[in-house]
Order: sequence, then C-alpha cells, then structure tokens
Amino acid sequence: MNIIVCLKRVPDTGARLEIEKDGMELKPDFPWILNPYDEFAIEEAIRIKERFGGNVTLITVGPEGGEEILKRGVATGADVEVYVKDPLLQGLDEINIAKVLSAVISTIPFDMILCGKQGTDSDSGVVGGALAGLLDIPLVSAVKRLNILPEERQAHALREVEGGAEVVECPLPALFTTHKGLNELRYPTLSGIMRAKKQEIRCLDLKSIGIAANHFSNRNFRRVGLSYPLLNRRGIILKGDIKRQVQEAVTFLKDEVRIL
Amino acid sequence: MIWVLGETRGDALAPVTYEALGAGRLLAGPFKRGLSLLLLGEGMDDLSKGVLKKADRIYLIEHKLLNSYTGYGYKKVLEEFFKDKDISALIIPGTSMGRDLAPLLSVSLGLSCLTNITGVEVINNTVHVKRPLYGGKIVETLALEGSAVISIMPRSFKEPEASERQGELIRVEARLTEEDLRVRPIEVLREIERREITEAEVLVAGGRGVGGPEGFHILEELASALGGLTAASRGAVDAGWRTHASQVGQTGKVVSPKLYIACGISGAPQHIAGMRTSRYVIAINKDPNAPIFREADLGITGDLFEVIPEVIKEIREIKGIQEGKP
Ligand SMILES: Cc1cc2nc3c(=O)[nH]c(=O)nc-3n(C[C@H](O)[C@H](O)[C@H](O)COP(=O)(O)OP(=O)(O)OC[C@H]3O[C@@H](n4cnc5c(N)ncnc54)[C@H](O)[C@@H]3O)c2cc1C
Ligand SMILES: Nc1ncnc2c1ncn2[C@@H]1O[C@H](COP(=O)(O)O)[C@@H](O)[C@H]1O
Repeated sequence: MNIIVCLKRVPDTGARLEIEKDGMELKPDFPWILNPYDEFAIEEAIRIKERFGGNVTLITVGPEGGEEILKRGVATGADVEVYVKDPLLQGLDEINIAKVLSAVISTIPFDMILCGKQGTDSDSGVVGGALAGLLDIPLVSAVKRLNILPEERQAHALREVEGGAEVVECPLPALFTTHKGLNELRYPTLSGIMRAKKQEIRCLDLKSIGIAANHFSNRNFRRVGLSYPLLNRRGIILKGDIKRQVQEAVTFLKDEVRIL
Repeated sequence: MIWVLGETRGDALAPVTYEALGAGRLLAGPFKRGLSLLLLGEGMDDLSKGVLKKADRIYLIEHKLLNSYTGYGYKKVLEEFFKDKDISALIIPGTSMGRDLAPLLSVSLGLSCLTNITGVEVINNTVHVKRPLYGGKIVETLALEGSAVISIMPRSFKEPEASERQGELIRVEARLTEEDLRVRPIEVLREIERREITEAEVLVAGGRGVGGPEGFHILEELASALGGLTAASRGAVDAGWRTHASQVGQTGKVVSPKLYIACGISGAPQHIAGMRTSRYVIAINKDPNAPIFREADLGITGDLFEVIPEVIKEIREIKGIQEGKP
C-alpha cells in the first residue's frame, strides 16, 4: 500500500489570537501545530503500512513553516516528505490548494490518500473532497473505522452520520478523510526523531510542478474583515446557598430562556 | 437562481432544510431572484407539501439510487441537472451529507466553496457571509463576488416565512447506474433513539467533573425534564464515559442550541469552540475560577450532584403546576 497523507499547519488550538489594527489579519505571534485531524491520518497510514507494507508519503503545501509538521510525521514512521513551498500560495483558498495537491499527486503512484476531516483553523473540510473530485477517485469523508482489503483492492469504512453511522465499501485507489476516534496516536521515538532530522525534504515550487498563477480558478470571495465574536453574555456568577442559586437559575430559565 | 439542496431525516425533512431555505431567502430577496429547492430520491411528494410555500420552485429529482446519499451519485445527477441552469448560489446543509458533497460538487460545477457559514447579509448589493475561524475565537466576513456553493452551519438560520403563493412542483427523472456511485453504502447502523446533538434545542453537557458514566444519569434526567439531550466534553469522552458522537468542541461537534448547560466542564478553549454560538449558557462548576464562567450567562458555583437534583425538582414543580391547569 502506497499511502499519501496531506498535512496542514494551523494555529495552536489553545492559542490566544488577536486581530491586527487593520482588521484584516491576525497578529502573527502565536504557535502553529499540525492540524489535529491530520495526526489521525498519519497514524492510520503508518498502521496500514505496518500491516501490508508499502510506504507513506507526507505532502504539505504552503508559503512557510511546513518543515516542522513534516518532520513530526517522519518521526512517527512516515517515509517521504514533499513540501510545495511558494510565496504565491499565501492565502490561497481550499479549492486551489486541492489543485496544487492534485498536480503533485498525479505524478506519484498511490493506493490511497488520507486527509484530515477538516482544518481546525476554518473548519472548512474542503481540500480532501475537492482533491478526490479532481483526481476522480472515490471519497469517504469523516471515517472512524477503516478496513483495507489489499487483495480485493477494496476498503470498508465506517463514517458517522446523523443519528448513527454508515458502513460503506469502495474500490482503491480512494481518498479518506479522518475523524477523531479512528485510532490512538503513538508518540515519536527517539530513533524516529533522529531519522527525521537526517532525512531530506523534497522541496518543490509551483513552477516545478507546472502550475502558473493563472492556472488557479477564481475564488469568488474576498475577505472584508475579521472581528471578535459578539458575546452579549450576562455573565452573572452566583455563589453561596445552593437552594437560592437554583431558584435564580430557574427564574432565568422561565423569564429569559423561556423554556419553562 | 438561488438553489437549496434539501435533506431528509427519517420520514421528514431535516430541520436544517428549513434553515437552508431561510438562508436562501435572505439572498433571493434583495436580488429579486427565485428560490428553488431540490429534493433527491423517490417518494418526496408528501414531504414537499410542507415546503410548498417556502420556495418558488421545488424540483423532485427521482431515482431509486438517490434514496440514500452517495457523494458521486448526487454529484453526477446534479451536474447533469445544472448543465443548462444558472447558479448564483447553491446552499447545502452542513451535515455529514453536505460536508461530503460540497467540495465534490464545487469542483465539478467549477464554483467556489464556502463552508460553515453562520450568517448572510446583503450590503450595497454585495452578499456578505460570515463564518467562525479558529474555533470561533474570530469571525470572518467575506464578500461574495461570484457564484459559490455555500454550506451552512445547522441552527444558524431561521426558517423563512411562508409566502402567499404556492411553489411550483417540478418532477425530474434522473439517470444513474450502480457504477456511478463509486462508494457503495452497505449498512446503516442506527443508534436507537439517538437524536443528533447538533439539532437539539437544549443540551446538558457533562465533563470530567461528572466523575464517571453513572454520573451522567442525573444529566440525562435534567435533559429529559427540559426536552433536550446530553452531550459531553472531550474529558468525559476520552475517559470512556460517553461516545465521541456526543463530544462538543474543536475535535467534536459545533452546537448552537437555545440552551447549553455545562456541568463539571472547565471551559478549555477547544471546548468553547464547540458551544460558543449557543443562545444561552448556564455553567455549573464547583470551582469559582473555572474559565467556563466567562462564557456563561449564568454560573452556579457548587457541586453538580447537589445542584442538578435541586434544579430538576424545581422544574418538575413548575411543570406540574402548569400541567395541573385546565
Ligand atoms: C487538539 C485538541 C483538541 C481538543 N478538542 C476538544 C474538544 O473537541 N472538546 C473538548 O471538550 N475538549 C477538547 N480538547 C481538550 C480540552 O483542552 C480540555 O482538556 C477538555 O475540554 C477538558 O475536559 P473537562 O472540562 O471535562 O475536564 P477538566 O478540565 O478536568 O474539568 C473538570 C471540571 O469539573 C469541575 N468539577 C469537578 N467536580 C465537580 C463537581 N462535583 N461539581 C461541579 N464541578 C465539578 C472542576 O472544577 C473542573 O472545572 C482538545 C484539546 C486539544 C489539545
Ligand atoms: N495546505 C495544505 N497542504 C496539504 N494538505 C492540506 C492543506 N490544506 C488542507 N489540507 C488537507 O485537507 C484537510 C482539510 O483541510 P481544510 O479543507 O482546509 O479544512 C486537512 O486536514 C489536510 O489533510
């Protein structure tokens, strides 16, 4: 099984984020992490490789900072790192990111592609599905269980749906997006970390994969501004006698929430 | 034309279908464009009755292979359907179906794709949409400059008013073969009576402070007294007390109920990411400094095992009195 895993860099989910004065960008001083959903994708790829052989290729696309997240994946057992790094990728929308990924991936033989269900930055969940569409391969999104049948060149996957789950079957090659619960993550080993340090990243830019800026499709939207969510919370914290607190809470349910 | 893709839940339209129509109306109105609803699958006639006055046109796209959702099946049929039609916006519910379909369809129709939209507004003839970023810590406003597939967050839009006129019902026969589906559904596992937390009006959520799986009984009781469902923090899910399907937060679900009661949940940013858009929030925590209180309309400081039985008692008293009235 040759598996490709697509990785995205996102702001640390616990970070405090502030908006620049111009209201258009974030102040840049926050830590970045590998998208949490992509960790499940790397883990699943390594498990499949351990079972059936093959190799795991990690790919990330972006203007900067990709090295660190690739190294993390190699430290846990991935084989190849590909980084499409280009300043033109700054602020590119998901559909066009998928176009870049599809251009790179169509030069690599693969049996399956794993993406995270969504990036925790904008929770979009667009790149995986768009990539499957561009490559014209089956897509199963938000999988919580994945069972590969290499002989039959098939996969069975379980994905959560409203009010339950569904089990589906598809031929390989296919693209799966990974949900929490798919597997338990392992920690990188010391030898893995050493190996990751030594291994060279295959660095590409848009030109080298044959994409000119006018290759991108129009993004039909433009950022107008960023703001903080309006909270309007009453913020009343009660203390002391439980009975009294509960009475106030019930009055709140009756008079404001109006559900009693 | 503004298009809305409908979704069913059991024998009814899913609530988010009405919400999507609401979002569609907000766009259709200012531009004096029509609003059309698409329903895929067989036997939608009865279901369409409830929305006849909510859309200008209702297309019933029929084929037995459309009775359950498949990404490539829907894509193929919609691609064919839209061949000779103009799209200003196609609104899709942000559900397990819509989240799967939106990117596939955007690519095949050559449209931009915006997901997780929580607000729509027309300003000076330009459509502005809003979406939460970074677990809701920031809100982004985007101006739409062309056609797009827009998937909306459940419970973010209101159902539109019924219009005077009855919408036109149009039947379309779809062409589809088994091979087109690519991904074949083999079985559906229904959890008995499991309703979806993203669609609930009231959620009673428990965290590590609940102490164990048994502790959730009292939360279930409160939820049922309020006609709601229970949910959980990752703390409670990772401890194995609840299933991941009920997890609220950055790696769980984003919920927007009318009322969210957080019990024994500290209020980590990744949890807040999933419940910030709730209309009202009550927090019950024994630690007066718990960050969850900063996200609450009302905080109760105390042991949840003392507080919740008291709340249930009061609610039952009130409900009892109401029921006792003629
Ligand atoms: C990448 C990433 C993704 C994450 N995604 C999510 C997510 O999707 N959802 C999520 O919830 N978390 C998520 N987390 C975890 C998050 O950071 C917190 O660890 C988690 O939310 C804590 O759960 P908790 O509040 O239940 O537990 P704790 O933080 O342990 O809080 C327990 C609270 O219960 C109170 N308490 C204890 N006993 C009682 C009692 N008897 N009565 C009243 N109060 C009591 C305590 O005072 C405390 O405030 C994520 C973390 C990371 C790094
Ligand atoms: N810039 C990128 N480079 C590589 N993979 C990406 C990139 N952006 C998104 N992905 C993949 O697509 C998934 C969904 O991301 P998104 O559509 O941005 O929510 C991520 O979890 C990654 O697996």
